[in-house]
Amino acid sequence: MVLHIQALLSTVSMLLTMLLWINGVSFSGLMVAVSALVLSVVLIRWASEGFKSATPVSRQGIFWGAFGIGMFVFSYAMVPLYHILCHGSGSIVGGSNPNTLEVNILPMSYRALPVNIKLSKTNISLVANDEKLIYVTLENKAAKSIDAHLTLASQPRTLKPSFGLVVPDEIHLDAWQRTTFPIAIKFKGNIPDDLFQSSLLIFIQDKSDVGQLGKSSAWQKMHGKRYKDGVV
Amino acid sequence: MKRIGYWLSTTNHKDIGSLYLWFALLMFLVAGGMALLIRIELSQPGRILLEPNFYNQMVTMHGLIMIFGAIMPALAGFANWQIPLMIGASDMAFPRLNNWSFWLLPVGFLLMCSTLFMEGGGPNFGWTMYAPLSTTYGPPSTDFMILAIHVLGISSILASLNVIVTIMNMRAPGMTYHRMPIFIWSWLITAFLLLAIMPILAGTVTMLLTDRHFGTSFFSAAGGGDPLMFQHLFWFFGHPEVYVLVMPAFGIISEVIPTFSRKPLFGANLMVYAIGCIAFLSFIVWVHHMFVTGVSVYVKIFFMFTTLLVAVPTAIKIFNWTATMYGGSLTFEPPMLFAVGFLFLFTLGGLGGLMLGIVPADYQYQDTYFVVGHFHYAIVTGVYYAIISGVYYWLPKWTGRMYSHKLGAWHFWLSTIAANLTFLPMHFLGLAGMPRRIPDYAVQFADFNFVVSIGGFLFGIAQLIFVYLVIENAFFKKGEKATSQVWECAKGLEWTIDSPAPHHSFLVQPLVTKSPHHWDWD
Repeated sequence: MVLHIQALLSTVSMLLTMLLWINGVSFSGLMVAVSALVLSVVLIRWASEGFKSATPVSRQGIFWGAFGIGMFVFSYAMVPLYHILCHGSGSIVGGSNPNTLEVNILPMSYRALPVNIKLSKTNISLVANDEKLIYVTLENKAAKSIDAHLTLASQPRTLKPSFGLVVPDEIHLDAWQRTTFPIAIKFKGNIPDDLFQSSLLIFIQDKSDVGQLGKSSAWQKMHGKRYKDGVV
Repeated sequence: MKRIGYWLSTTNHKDIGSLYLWFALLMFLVAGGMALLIRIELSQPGRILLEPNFYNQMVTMHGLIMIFGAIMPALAGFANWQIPLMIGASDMAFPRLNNWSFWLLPVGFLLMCSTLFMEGGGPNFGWTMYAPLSTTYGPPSTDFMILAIHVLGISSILASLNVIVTIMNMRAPGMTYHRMPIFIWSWLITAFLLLAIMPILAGTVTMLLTDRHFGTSFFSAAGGGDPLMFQHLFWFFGHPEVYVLVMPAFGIISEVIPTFSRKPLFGANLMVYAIGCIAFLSFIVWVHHMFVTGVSVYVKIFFMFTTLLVAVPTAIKIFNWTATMYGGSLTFEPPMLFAVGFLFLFTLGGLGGLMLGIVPADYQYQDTYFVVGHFHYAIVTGVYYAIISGVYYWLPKWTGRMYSHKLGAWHFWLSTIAANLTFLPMHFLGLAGMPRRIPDYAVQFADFNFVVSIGGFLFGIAQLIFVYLVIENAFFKKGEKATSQVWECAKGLEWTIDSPAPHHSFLVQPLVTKSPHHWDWD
């Protein structure tokens, strides 16, 4: 039988015995070993023909065959490389320090409240139960005084209970007044493994009726009589 | 029996080329049939015909068979037929290896298709085989698929090794690298790519196998591994694989367009550099398939940049083909029709690729039908059109008979209308938010899906014209006898021998004195 047909048949038998082995058939391990041996013998015979003829063509064929085997080995070398390059260098976000949360902070004055708001930092990193101070500068651009307070929205929304915002209860700004004060942002508890980034929206809102989140009367309408009776 | 023995042991490059091409045609029909089953299921919302699990199996097998069973063998068929003819060699460098390499294909295909008849059904996790879908949650038949991929991979590696050694050592005297046809260049570069990436896939699926059965944890987070690493390894293979399919197609188009434009190829050297450049870039773009996996923004920016960079050499090629046609005496025989179709529609597919390469846009398009539309434009109206163009171009040389140009033109126009009807609305569906790989969908996607299904069936019917033409030409020897030149302005060594090409091609070794890209105008 010609050599390439022998190679084909021994490859097929190798495959079939592999399948038996995977399926846990008795003595299949032995059969795999035997068929691998047969295939190796055929291939070695074939390669030795190439070595014997030692033409540049056969040598080059063997060289490129070895290159192919080298690339197979390289696929295994990529496993530690992946762990070093990707997890080691942090190219996967949070890979090197999965418990760090990057928080982007966006300030905003609600419903065109005539107050300029600036933050000393718009980006902070928090670890579990960590607290960071940032400075808020407010400037009243109106010719009347404003009573305001700061409130918080988070992205993702489900994260809001995890953030603690330590701020003054009420901020009184006289006409044209500019003031700076610190606020503390705290992450309560552990940071989930799959959480790397979050954002906080800090609103400055008027304490009086105009400028409340949503329609100020809607809440009253919803609760209606119960609110009036002071049940809530 | 003797006949079977002949085909089983033949070492003639033309025989093996024909085997590859017939095998590829069979696989096209099998995987095309699967595509039509998918389209029946998606023609209306709700369950029509297939169990969702079987639908997933069809999606997986359609992808795997089209890539490994149809397109790659078709291109290998071209390589086997054309490379020795075009470089003036008597045969491939390793004829017996060539035979082994082909006959591994049916073995792999049988292993692959046998999975559909097993308990638990065939693989159902998509051709990308992502872990843990293919490890922890894969059906028992996954092992057969893994071994089938090993076999098909070995076949590709042997074929590429053979191509490299043949081209580097067996060129006719006088055929320097600068005088090689672009088709040969494209296959040389493709073979290097294949040799570099197929072992990576083999290694990766071996890791899958050992994770499944031998207690390793390459892709299992519970054992210290990482499922994401599978995606990195797979796409390190997978993206160059796309170019493995596309670059020989570029080679075919570069042969066809000058012939029917009656002008030498514009910027032939630049075409080679562009193919080399695309091959290099193909190794540094793989993360664009993984923009939503949580890689850092710097990595995303790098891979976005390299992805968009691929457009430069590709645009050079498109420009050069267009410049070749500019001012030429164009005629539109079937090979040219498909080449021009390729030029327009592959470019359209490429533009979709540019959109997907932009990170923020990709967040929106990821895993939607937009992606399906994009890569079908690239593979069907790109690679498949080039394959058809090549078959129509060289078929008279292979069989010695000319086919009906009228039917060829019908094939083209029906295919083109159907392909656009099928793949263009997929973009709209994707932009509207329809996810890929689902057997059912929200009712607002119904109209476009119906159009896509109609287009899919029309495309399938159009391919029957091609099957008829090829069978008529090859088996029934109908049609005019072809001359050795076949096409008026075809250049290259293959046109100097008789049609059909004799069993032994060059009884006297040809001497090459000039490049096929330099024409004598007198």
